[in-house]
Amino acid sequence: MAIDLNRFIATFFDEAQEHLESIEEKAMSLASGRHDPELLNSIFRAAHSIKGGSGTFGFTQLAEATHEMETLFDQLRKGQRLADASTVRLLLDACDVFKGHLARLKGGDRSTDPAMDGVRERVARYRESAGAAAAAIAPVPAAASAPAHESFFAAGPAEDAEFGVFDAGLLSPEPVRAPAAAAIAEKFGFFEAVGADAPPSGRDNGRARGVEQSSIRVSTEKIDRIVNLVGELVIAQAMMQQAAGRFATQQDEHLNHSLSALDRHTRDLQQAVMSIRMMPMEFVFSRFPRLVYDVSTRLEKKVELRTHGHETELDKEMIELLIDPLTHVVRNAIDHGIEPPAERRAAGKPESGTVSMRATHRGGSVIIEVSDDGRGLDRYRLLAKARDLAMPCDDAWSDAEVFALIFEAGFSTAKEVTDLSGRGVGMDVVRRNIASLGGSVSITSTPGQGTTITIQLPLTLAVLDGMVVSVGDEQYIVPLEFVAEAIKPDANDVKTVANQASLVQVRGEHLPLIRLSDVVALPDADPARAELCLVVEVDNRRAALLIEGLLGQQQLVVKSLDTHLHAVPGTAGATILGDGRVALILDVNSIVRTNVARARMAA
Amino acid sequence: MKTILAVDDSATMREMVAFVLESAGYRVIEAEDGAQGLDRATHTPVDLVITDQNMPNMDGLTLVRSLRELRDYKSTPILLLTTESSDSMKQQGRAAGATGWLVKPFDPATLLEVVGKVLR
Repeated sequence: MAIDLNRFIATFFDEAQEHLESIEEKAMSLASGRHDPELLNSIFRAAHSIKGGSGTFGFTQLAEATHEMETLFDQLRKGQRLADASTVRLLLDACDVFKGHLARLKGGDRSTDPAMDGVRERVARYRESAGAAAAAIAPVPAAASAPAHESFFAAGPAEDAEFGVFDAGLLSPEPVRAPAAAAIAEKFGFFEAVGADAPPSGRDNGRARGVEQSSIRVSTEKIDRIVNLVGELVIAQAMMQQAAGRFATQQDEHLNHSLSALDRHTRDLQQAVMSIRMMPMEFVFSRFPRLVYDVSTRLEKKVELRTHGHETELDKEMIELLIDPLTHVVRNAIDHGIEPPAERRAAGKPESGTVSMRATHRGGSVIIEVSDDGRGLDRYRLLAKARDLAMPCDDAWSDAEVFALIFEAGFSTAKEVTDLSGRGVGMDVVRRNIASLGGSVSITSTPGQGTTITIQLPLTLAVLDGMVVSVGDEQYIVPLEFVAEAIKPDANDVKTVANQASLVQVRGEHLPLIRLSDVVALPDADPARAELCLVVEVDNRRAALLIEGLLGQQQLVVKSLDTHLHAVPGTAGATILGDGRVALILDVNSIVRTNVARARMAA
Repeated sequence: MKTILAVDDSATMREMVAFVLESAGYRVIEAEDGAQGLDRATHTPVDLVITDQNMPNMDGLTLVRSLRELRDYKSTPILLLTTESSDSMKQQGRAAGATGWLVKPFDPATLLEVVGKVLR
């Protein structure tokens, strides 16, 4: 029977990619200089697996280069030599070339890749140069077969280059012969020869697996389509409930019962579908060891990266959009936060700095913290800088307010622009990116002890828990994660300062009062009807949002606004309510920021 | 229908082995390493085990030895599917109690031939 195994190439590409990433990640732990057999073994295994697969599919260059790497790691795991920084560099460079080569192969380019030859030779030279000296210390035992083996092998009745059977009694006397294609002495390119005279078998039912099948690969488009459809279903369900509520009374118990069952199942379905899109933070974290290694080596700083909460799950889309801002934050921490080794020593700190990344779930949000144990933010320098830039600032500001300055556009305290952090992309871009994901960023810092950047994100971009509020005839959504409380302030509690900005006193604290009718530009709204306040909190800043009515809390399906509506200030998206009306979702982040700044200017 | 357990930490290899064997009408269950393989084999009786040698958690030789200690697997055929076909590997494979060995990359026809022989 002719079987074409080329259908497994895609699996191999995915797997090889994963192995390369794991080699890269593990390689960086090698430089510590201690002999860690398990670590070396796992790198050996990864190289070995890539080699095996590439041999199968006839990717000779990849097979040969990974073979060199495997041999090097065999020496290392046997303790015949020690890994050092040069080994790490070699491995990382090799992984880069391998990845490029994989991309070529994926694109169908099977031509000779000069970079691969280069890297194979480099690994081989490296292995031989340092290996020669080490070989003298710990000679590899010669692979000569002892007589005892010999007799056993001689006795083996079914023995070939390709396979063998230990127990003679099991088999028929005649040796099993390998087919001609397999008998080719060449180590690689095995299936090409087979595939050439074998038409594709075209059998797909062979993939139908029993109960043991634990996962399947599905394209993200398919999943996104389901997510969208379920979103529509949730809206339709809410509309139906609302419509039924108008005429269905208690006597129609059956209808009510069915509706509540539908409601429950729709919610469960939605949750189940959303969970398909969830991916562990591992996917984000796994990129950082390489970044930290490259950046710290370049800056001649010693930095250790610690990551916690790999299993914390986040929407796939969010994961992808999170990588850029986080990369910037981590670069910044190493560039501006962590001091050079000499400075750290002088300050009585360990020479090696630490950058920690931690992901946790809190309520309906994911919290990602990036902390460093570096020099911390200098309040006075930040204030001086703000004054130079003619930004509004005040010596009386709290630390949190001063530190938040680094998120303002055009604010950078780097003494000199480095090509790492000072690319004209500042923390303001980080804040904007995070805000576009419906999240917020805050910062805490202690001079001499370090800085922590905290990013709060909703679990998913597709669904949101919101408070439905009204002003005039319009309804708006305030994302629940920003809502601290709802109050009905006394007329005496509201104070107007300098004829402009108003403040409201909530349990002794004066909060800037933001009229929703102003934000959404509804000039004819009757001020007398606005008597409720939602206290909202963003990046440790609180404000009171003055509204007319509080209509309830609801889970909503977020519909993104069209590109040309993105710039509408104060809005973050739209949703369809149960009665079929469209309601805008308020961008609390930007509303609070602009209004708090305005209130401060006025004060 | 004969059930075969394929143990390999490489998904590519596992899927290829499964595909070849399923095409020939065998039922295949998979495991990602020796430990999982042992677990699968104790829960589902299998007629043949094909295992990789170099795997995390538990390697192939340890899996062979562990299976041989189980009453149900005293005489079940076990094949080592390995890139290494050195004499010392063969010696170790035999000592552990494996039935035979097959080199990777494997030829589908050879795999089916060997499997057919040991299952007969």
